[in-house]
Amino acid sequence: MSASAFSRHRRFILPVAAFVIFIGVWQIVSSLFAIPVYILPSPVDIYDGGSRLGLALFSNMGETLKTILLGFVLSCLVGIPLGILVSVNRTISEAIYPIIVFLNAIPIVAIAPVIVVIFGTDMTARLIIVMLIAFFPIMVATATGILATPEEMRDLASVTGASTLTEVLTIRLPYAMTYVFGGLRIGVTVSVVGAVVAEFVNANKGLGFLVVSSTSQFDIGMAMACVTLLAVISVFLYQSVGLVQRLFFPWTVGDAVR
Amino acid sequence: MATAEMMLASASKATEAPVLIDIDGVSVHFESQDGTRVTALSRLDLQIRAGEILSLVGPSGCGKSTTLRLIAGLQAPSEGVLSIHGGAKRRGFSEVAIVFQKPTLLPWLNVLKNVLYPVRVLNRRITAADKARAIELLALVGLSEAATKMPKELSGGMQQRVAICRSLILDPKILLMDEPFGALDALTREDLQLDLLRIHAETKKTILLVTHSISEAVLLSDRVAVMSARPGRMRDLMEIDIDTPRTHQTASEPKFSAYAQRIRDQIFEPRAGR
Repeated sequence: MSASAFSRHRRFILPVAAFVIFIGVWQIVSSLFAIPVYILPSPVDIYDGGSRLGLALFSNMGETLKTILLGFVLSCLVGIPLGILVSVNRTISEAIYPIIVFLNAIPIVAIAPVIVVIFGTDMTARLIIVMLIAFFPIMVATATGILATPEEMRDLASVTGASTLTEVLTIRLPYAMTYVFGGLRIGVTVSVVGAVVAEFVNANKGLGFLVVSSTSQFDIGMAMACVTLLAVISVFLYQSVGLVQRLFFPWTVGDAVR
Repeated sequence: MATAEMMLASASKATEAPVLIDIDGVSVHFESQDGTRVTALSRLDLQIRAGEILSLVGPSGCGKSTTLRLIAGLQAPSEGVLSIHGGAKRRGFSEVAIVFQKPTLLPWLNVLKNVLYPVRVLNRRITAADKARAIELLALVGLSEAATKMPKELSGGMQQRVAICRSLILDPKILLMDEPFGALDALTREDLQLDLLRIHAETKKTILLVTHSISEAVLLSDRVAVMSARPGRMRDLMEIDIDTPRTHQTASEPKFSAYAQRIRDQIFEPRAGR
């Protein structure tokens, strides 16, 4: 490979090479020192654990993805309008902001079993758990963006005779999208966390459930396979949010956002 | 005083045009952050005539921009009455448009949609006639090729031209300009000044221009209002009796520098010497 080809693709080549070396060293160290699988499973152990699940791995992944995506979408549907409301209307903001901050302060892992008792063991409880953790960053980001709208842009709307609603829809919300996407990136990542927590306490399927059930049988390889898949899902969703942003909201992609 | 005679002579000529904006004893007070009352504008009396270009010049804090915001309906008078075209000022209507120092284009809309933004705000469907008018306006400032470009693809001067087109789309009677050329480089500024004179000649809009540049005020204006700071008040109102159409050669006329000098004297003269 020529030097110029390397420099052109270095952003791709370097991390892949580092990853391959990391996995290689991990495997070599595991085999060489015969590290027991319950202390540190080797990459091969993890692969075996995953393949022992077979297709079940993917059907469980589908379950978890459903929880993540539904919970994330609901968080957007609640978080974005709420973010607009608290930033536009001072009364609403003063009235409900403390409640929202309190809701967000509840440790999700602590409240999850309680929610299962209240709402039962179906999807509802899982979605509530995901929403509790994911709507807050989305709401705060939206509110921050709405409030950050430059005064001259707002003046432009006022001089033309725009109502508050028109101003929000045509000026403040489009402007805030840069911030909203910041919130969505965080939101989608914590949605994965929320979905796994929900499956820990209440599920008979899903990757979170598999992690619990396989560790109780000391199948660390299988557990690690699920954990790895969860990380892949998380990265994939994070990148998807970025892709949606670049495709449909190109003006929000400045040098500061990547 | 020779200048006073000059003013009188030209005033009699220009009073034929009806008064469009009547600012009658208007004061504006602000509550500053530590709770003290700041007077941004003190008992301003100003009659703006239909079809004229009137410039407001003065040091920072003299209430130039506040005056503009008053007329735009972005600021309510604390005292006094502001009336436009005989009627009371309504908040936001298509007879007033504003151009800011920054172009303030919406980065998510292309040039054409930016120009059409006021039409959209008025909840009107954008018709083919609206589009044709927008394109006509863009052509007026030499930007017909840029209609489908995004704002960030344009230079600062081009963006400001688009902003001027946007301000004209609803065919307002009054055009308010808050240091519209202040952020541009000198050459672009001269270009846009001539654009503005041309637009004024073609449309006969009433234009109220806030500027820091004395020569810009003399070049562009039918009248110049000199304001002083803390509290903001009117110091002098002079008729600029220089033939139209004006170009940048106008600036080398002796009359031009005499006006400029007089404005400068008014701004820097101690208040007691009034």
